[in-house]
Amino acid sequence: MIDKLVLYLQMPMVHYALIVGVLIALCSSLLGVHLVLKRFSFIGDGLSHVAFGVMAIASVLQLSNDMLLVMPVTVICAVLLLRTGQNTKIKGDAAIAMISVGALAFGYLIMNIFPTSSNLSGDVCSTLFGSTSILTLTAGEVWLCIVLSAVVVLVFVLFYNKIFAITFDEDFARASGTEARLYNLIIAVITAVIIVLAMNLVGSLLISALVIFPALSAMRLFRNFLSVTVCSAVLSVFCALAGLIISILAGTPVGSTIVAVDAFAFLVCWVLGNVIKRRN
Amino acid sequence: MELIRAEHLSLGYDSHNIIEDLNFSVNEGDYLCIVGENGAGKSTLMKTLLKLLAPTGGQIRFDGLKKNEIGYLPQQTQVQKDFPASVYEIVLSGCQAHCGLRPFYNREEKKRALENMEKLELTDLRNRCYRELSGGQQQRVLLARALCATRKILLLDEPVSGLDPKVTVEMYELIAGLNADGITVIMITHDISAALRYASHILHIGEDIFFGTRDEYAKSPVGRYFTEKMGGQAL
Amino acid sequence: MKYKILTLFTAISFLGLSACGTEAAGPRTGGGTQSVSDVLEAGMQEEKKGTISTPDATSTPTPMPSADAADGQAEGEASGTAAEGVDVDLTIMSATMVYSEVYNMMYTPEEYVGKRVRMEGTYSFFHDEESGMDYYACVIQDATACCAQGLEFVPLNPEKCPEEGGMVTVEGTFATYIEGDYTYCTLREATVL
Repeated sequence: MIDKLVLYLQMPMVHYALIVGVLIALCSSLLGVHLVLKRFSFIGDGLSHVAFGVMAIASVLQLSNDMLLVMPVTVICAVLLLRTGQNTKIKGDAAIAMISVGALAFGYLIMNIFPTSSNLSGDVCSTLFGSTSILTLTAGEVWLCIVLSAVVVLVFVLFYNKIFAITFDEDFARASGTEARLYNLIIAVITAVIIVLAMNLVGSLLISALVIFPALSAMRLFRNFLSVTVCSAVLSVFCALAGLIISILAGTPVGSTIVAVDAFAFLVCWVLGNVIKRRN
Repeated sequence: MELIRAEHLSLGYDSHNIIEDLNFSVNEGDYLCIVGENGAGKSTLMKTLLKLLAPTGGQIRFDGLKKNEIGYLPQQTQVQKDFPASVYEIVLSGCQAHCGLRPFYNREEKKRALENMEKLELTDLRNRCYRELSGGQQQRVLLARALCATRKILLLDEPVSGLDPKVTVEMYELIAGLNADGITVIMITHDISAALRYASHILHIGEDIFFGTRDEYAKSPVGRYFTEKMGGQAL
Repeated sequence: MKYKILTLFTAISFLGLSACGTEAAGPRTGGGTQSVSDVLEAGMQEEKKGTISTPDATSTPTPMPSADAADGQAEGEASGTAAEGVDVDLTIMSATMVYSEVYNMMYTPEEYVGKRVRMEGTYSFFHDEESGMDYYACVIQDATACCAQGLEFVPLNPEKCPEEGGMVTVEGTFATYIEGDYTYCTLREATVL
């Protein structure tokens, strides 16, 4: 077991996977707290399905670098979705559901009508569940991920106080003169970036888990925003690492293993949270 | 000094008007109560004053009042009920509007947050979680946050809803105290007796619109209808 | 007959080889590298079961007991449990890792050329009627069981190959060759173990 792990840890593809996995887990959990509290848990799902649809189009167009198309389109959708969600809650909810399933259906349809590779089910499966794409990254993709993650973390730290203010009470923030619209836009953009990156790690069906589980777990244990954010980041990174290593050792699918570990962590936090409550 | 003047204001959603031709003004140091039935457009008016909604007609002029000099005490939202945040974090976030693009709070803003917490007797609750506080304590936290945002004018949207009678009185006294310190107050309330007790001016909206001082209101037909129903206890 | 061709295509697309994951990861070598096993899989459907043992089986020398074991040590030390003289031993890896490693072989073959590879997978055989060529392949699946990759091998001891669809373990030297427009990956001087 240990010598197997040592063997794997010497392979460059495992290094890449660990680096990218940790970064994506970190970024998604940071924003997760905001999205969960704003009742936008499903935004991850919606956007990842959009990304899936755009990827289908990109592959039909035979783009050599599909990121160039996927990233901007997903960002635009994020901006539109988060904007409609601001004023009318029900409409925003329905809009997310509509775009999400619509993009999924059209994406699959396009891939089916214009098959570009001989392995349709494989393509679809790996995009939806992220089978092993995290282990098959090129150095270029790893660098892209490092740079984008660094930008996301930097933006999050610099705008932390503003994000808190508009998460807790957007009306107050706007009324007292904070540029809430601008910050909402920034949040929408980095949400989209993270989700496109995260498709590599867990595939588009499982991204929501990466966004909501760490935040929900952290909320069981902590009662102020800073602790919740930090705890959710730590938890998410830990679960991603654990999930990756388990899947490599046991040969289980990467995405679902990570999500399973996240879910297990939530269970532990929930029990711990109840124990703490009873003690007080 | 005049802070706010509304001229021929029409309010509503889309093209449907709830209120038409509304005129009133607020001077520095005033305590204006906005009263009226449910659905009369009190909250819509408040949101228009806060520039969260655009009026459907007419205009509001803000003289000598900058965008980041408004303190707002909103009604509790669903989001806040289970929000993991400490009292200090929330109060401090009131200073956000003064930060501009600066990412972090400076020493002065932190000091201001602590002062306002002291003023509203929240210092002991500093690290407590907002969602675990009582209703009255939560309102005091939000009031402290509003005070961090402004030294000039407070807009309060039903600050006592859901509070028990004792805490309600405490809250009213607190607001009256702030007004006595020179802060202009605009408050939405259902409670006409409280309006008659504390306000300097009253704006009644609904089928009949009335704007004037408290005494004028008590003598007006709309005001008399209410005061008689309550047996004149307020005065 | 039409139905047969259809199933044939399904088989090809199912074992679409090295195509899996391209959506997420993007093509590496301009889509050039293709494994031979799509051809092989096509054969699987049509081939008469009788021709499994190849005609030139007799002329093949006896399996070399990993002759160049000594100089294969280059990276062998990394893998404590790997077999002697094998650089990339897929038989000791988990399903996830095997799949990823083979995927990487397809997309960055230049990094693997010359290495001794040992792998275990489903045996598959195809005889090309036109060119008279025989193709042997070892097919592996990923953990989600939706993707499969195959690697062709040129066996030194084809008589040891199992029935089609049976498990096979081969060890050979990784190489690439160009046929038509595509670059193919293969295991040369492969021994069936």
